[in-house]
Amino acid sequence: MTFSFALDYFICVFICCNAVLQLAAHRADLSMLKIIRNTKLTYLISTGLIFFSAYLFFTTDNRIINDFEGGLDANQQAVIFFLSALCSFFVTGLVASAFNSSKHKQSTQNLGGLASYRNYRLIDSLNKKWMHLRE
Amino acid sequence: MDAFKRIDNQIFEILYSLTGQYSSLDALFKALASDYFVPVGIGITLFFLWFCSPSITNRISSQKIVLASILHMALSSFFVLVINQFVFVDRPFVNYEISPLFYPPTDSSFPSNPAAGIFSIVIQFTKTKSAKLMTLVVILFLAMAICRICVGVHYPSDILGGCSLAIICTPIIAFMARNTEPVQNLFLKRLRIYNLA
Repeated sequence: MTFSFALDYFICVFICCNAVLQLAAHRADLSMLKIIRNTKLTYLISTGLIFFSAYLFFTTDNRIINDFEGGLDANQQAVIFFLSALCSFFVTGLVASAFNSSKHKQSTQNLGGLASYRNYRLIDSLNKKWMHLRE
Repeated sequence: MDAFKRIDNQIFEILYSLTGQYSSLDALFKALASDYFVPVGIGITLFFLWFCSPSITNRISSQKIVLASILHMALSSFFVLVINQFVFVDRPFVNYEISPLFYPPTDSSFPSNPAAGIFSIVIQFTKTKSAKLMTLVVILFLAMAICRICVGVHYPSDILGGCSLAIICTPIIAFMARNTEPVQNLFLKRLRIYNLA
């Protein structure tokens, strides 16, 4: 595995996961994870980003290489994919928190789990957990 | 057995003959057969399934499908690893003395590890209510399976062997899923505390 190859893979998966997360946020109506409100525009941009990331990955270098010649083996791919997906969740959540700063509902109803992102922003959720830990 | 081998070779020759005609088609075959395109496609589909359900009941069942898919894929790959300790089949490009479009893998051709892993996920996706997602994973699997034959790294029988192995693992996964239901519920409950499930 070379560092640049792993980094390229991480970046492309990160772009893909952000796009997929936007699609999922619209499908599940997780308002506080949405960056763009318009559903059709989100579908268009997200689909475009998924194909763009694949294009970016395969056209910037030779990706058809064995894992002992600089490619990634299955375990490395799995770990990088997981980290990338996790990062994309937090980055999407934080960006969406900034975009929805004026829109978030002051609801007392805490649905818990992912459904809480219908009313609460990720930043509020993290803040609440932090305060809870400090008590 | 000879007849089966003959048919296997004939299908391989037909599919391999599709390559080398158009450079853009070859590039498409290489991308679809690569270790990155379809696995990432399947990965983001699982990622989507984790988040996409609007109701809590559907979400829990979707997330259990994601967990079962990962476990099923891991078990199938483990069985491929075990089988490869006893069985070694040369790759088509070795037998035919051709230069493959792909890098030359050094492990056994039979059973196909990517086919076993991805078909495991296809099997688990049959539990989803979304026909669109099911169609997407089936298309990704077929694209990867056909392209790996086209680029000269697998025989059709390797793909069938991988699929059979995934099918054999299905009752084991079903048994494990049934018996680890409390553990799965606890795991998802913990993740829900951090608003991750």
